[in-house]
Amino acid sequence: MNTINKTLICFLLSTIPCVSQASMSLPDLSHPQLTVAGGFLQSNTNDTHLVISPYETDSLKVHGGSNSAVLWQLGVGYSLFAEQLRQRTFFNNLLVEFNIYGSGDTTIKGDVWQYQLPQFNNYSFHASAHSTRFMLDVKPQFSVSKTIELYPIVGLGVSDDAISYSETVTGVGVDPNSALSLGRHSSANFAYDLGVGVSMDINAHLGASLEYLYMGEGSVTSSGTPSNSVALQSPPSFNVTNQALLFGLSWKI
Amino acid sequence: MQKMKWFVLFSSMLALSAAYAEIPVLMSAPSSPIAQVFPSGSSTVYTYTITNNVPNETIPIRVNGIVAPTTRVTVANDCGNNLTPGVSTCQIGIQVAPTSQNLGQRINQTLSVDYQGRLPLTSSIAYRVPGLALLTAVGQVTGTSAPLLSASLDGGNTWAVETIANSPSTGIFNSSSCVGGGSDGICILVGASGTSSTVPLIALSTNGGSSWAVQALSGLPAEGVFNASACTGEGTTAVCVAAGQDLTGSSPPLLYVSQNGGNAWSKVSVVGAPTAGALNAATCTGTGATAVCMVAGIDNTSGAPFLAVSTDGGSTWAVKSISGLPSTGSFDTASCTGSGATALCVAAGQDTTGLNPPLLVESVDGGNTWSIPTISGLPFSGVYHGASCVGTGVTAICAIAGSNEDTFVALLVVSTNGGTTWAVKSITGSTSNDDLNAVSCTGTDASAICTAVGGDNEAPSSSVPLVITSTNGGATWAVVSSAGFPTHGTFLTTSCTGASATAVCSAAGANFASGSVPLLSVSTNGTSTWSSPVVTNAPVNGFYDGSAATE
Repeated sequence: MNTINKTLICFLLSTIPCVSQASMSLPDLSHPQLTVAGGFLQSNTNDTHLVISPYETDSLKVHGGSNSAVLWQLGVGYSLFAEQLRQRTFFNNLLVEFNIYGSGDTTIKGDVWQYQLPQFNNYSFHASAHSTRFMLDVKPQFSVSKTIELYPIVGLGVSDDAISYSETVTGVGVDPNSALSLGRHSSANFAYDLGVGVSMDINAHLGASLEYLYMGEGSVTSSGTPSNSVALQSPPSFNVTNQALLFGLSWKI
Repeated sequence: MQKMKWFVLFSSMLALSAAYAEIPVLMSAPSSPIAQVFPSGSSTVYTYTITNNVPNETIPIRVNGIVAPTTRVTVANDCGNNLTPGVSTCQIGIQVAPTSQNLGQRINQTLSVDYQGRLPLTSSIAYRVPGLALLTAVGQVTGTSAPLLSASLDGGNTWAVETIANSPSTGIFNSSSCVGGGSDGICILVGASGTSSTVPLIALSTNGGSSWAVQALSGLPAEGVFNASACTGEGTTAVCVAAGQDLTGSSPPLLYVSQNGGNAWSKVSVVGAPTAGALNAATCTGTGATAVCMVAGIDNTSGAPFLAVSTDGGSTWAVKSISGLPSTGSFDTASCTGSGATALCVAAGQDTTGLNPPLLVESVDGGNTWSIPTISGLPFSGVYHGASCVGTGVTAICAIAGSNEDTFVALLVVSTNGGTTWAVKSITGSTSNDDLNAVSCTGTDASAICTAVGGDNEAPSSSVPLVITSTNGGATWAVVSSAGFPTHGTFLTTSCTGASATAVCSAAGANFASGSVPLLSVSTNGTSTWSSPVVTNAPVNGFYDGSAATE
C-alpha cells in the first residue's frame, strides 16, 4: 500500500515526463510551501439569453465582453518526488498546490433585445458576479538557472459562483415595472485553469512568482425568481472565462 | 481629440438606438374615457386597440381581470385569442352593463391582456353604479308660505314631505341640485326665507336625503334671494353654487360657492359683474379644481343679458364677453356637460329687442369663448325656459325648451352633435297653447332620454299638464298621453336620472284647478308610463318650482 502505480501518475500529470521506475515511494509531505498572491483578473462573457415565456426569448448583448477585478490567492503546496526529481537537469520539481482564488465583484453590462430583435432594444442589464474557486493546481517546474524556474499550470476544482441581475428600462414608453430584477444566487460549478508561471528563489525559504492563468468557470446562472412580478421561464446564464496575472510570494517550511 | 469624436459618435448611436426602440406589444387607451358613473340599465362598449410589432410570431392572448358587470364582447376586428404576426392591430372590446344587482356598488377592476410577455397589458376600469336615486321637488306651501321639500329616497317609488332642521317658518325654495348617489348623495335647496322681506336660504343633505338642515351662511345680505343652484362632482369635493340677487343697495347679483360638498359656503365676487342685476340660472360640470361652473342672468344697469364663468372649481369668476349679444334681454336657463376645456355649455332666455326672439349662446371650449349659433326655423318671437345637456364631445346632446310666441306652441331646439348644429324639433301630438317650462335629459348618445314639461297655458284654471319625451337621444319628440297626469295643472320643473328603460323622471308643478295643489308625476321606466305618487304629509295647497335627482 505504500506504492502507487506509475501509469496513474503519468495519466494525471500527462504534461510531464514520467519517471522510469515502475513504482515509487509516496511523496514526502513534510515540507509544505505556503503561497500568497495578488493580481488582476479580466473576466470575459459571451452574449446569452433569457426566456420570458415560450413566446418571448430575449437576447442579452454584452457590452465589451470583458471587465477587470482584483484577484487574490492563498495556497499550500507540496513538492512531490523531490528526491527523485532533484537529480534531473530541467524538470526538477513537481509542485502540487491546493489554492483558493477569490476576486472582487465583476460587472457584466449590456442591452436586452426583446424577442432577440434589435428594434426591441428596450432595456439595459447589469449583472454583478462574484466567485471563489477551490483548485488543485499542478506545476511541473523546469530550471532555467540556479534560482529561476519556469512551469506550466494545470488545475481542476470547484467554483462557488454568485450573481445578481437587474435591468433598467431604456425604451421610450416602456413600463418601468417590466424590468427584471433577480436577486443574488449562488451555485457550484466545475472549474479549470491553465497557465504558465515563473518563480525565483530569493533565499532558502522565500520565493517570488509571477503567473498567468486562464480560468474557466462554466455557466453562471442567476436566480430564477424575479423580485418583481415580471414573468420569467428561464433565467440568464453567463459563460464566464477569466484571464489573470498574479504576483506571489512563497514560503518553504 | 480623435478619441473624443469616436466617443461622441458611439454615444449618439447608442442614444439613437434607444430612442427608436419599439415596444413589442401595445394596448391603447379605451376608445373613450371610461365614465365614472354607469346607471343601472345602461350599456356602454369600449374598445382597446392592441398593436403587435413582433414579426413572424402568432402570440396567444388571455383576457382577464374583468367580471360582470364588465364583460368582454366581440367587436369589429376582434383579437379573438391570438395576435397575428406583426405589424398587426386588433381590438379588444368590453361592455359595461350594470343591472339592478349592482346598485350602489363601486367597481374597481383591471383589464389584463396577457400576451405571454414580461407583464400583461393592463388598463384600470373604475366606476360607480349609483344606488336608488334621490329625487327632490321643492317649492312653497301656499297659505302658510312655508318652504316645501318633497323627496323620494328610493328612486321615485315613494315620496314624502321632508323635515328640514332650522327651516324658517316662511320662505320658498326656488331650485334644487343633487350629485352623487345612494347614501352619499348630496342635495342642495336654495331660495329665500321670509315673505315680504326675504333673506337668501340654502338647505342641504349630505347623506342621501336621510336628514336635511338649513346652512348657516356668513356675509349674507339683509335682503336677497337665491334663484338657481348647481352641483357637480361628489362627496367632500363636490362643487356647489347658489346664485341669485342681493336686494340691498344697488341690488347686485349674488353668488355663493361651496367647494366641499356643501358643508361650507362663501360669498364670491365676479370680475366684471354689473352693480345691479340678477342671476337666474346656474350650472356646473366636471370635478374638483377643474370643474366648470356658469351663472347667467340679467344686467339691470343696461338691461342686457350676461353670464359669468369659473373654470377652476368655483374659485374665481369672470363675466364673459359675447359677440352679438343683444342690448337687452336675459338668460333664464343654463346647462353644461363634459369637463374641462372641452365642456359644452349653453345659456338661453330671450332677446327683448325687436320682436323678442329666443336667445341662445353656447361655448364648446369649457366656457372660455361664447357664440350665438345659427338656427334655422326659429320663431320671430319666443323664449327659452329650460336647458339640459348630457354626454361629452361631439356626441353631447343639448335640448333647449320654451315657447314659440309666434304661434304659441312648444319650442324645442336640439343639438345632437356637441353643439355643432342645432335644429328646431317638431313635436308629435303637440297642440296650440303649449308652453314648455323645463327640460331634463339623462343617459348618453342615441339612448339618452329627455323629458320636457309645461302646460297648455290657455287659461290657468284649465291648463293641462304637458310632458314631451324623447327616448332616442333627442332625435324625435312626442307628447306623452298618460292617464297618470291630472286633468288640470302645469309642470314647472322636471328631473331625469338613470338610463334607458330604468331611467327615472319626475315632473312637478301645480294644479291650479282649485287654488294651487302641489302636482307631481313620476316615471320609473324610461318615460314609458307615468303616475302621480302619493306624497306623505303633502300640504293641501302649494306648488313645486324646482326639482333635482342624484345619479
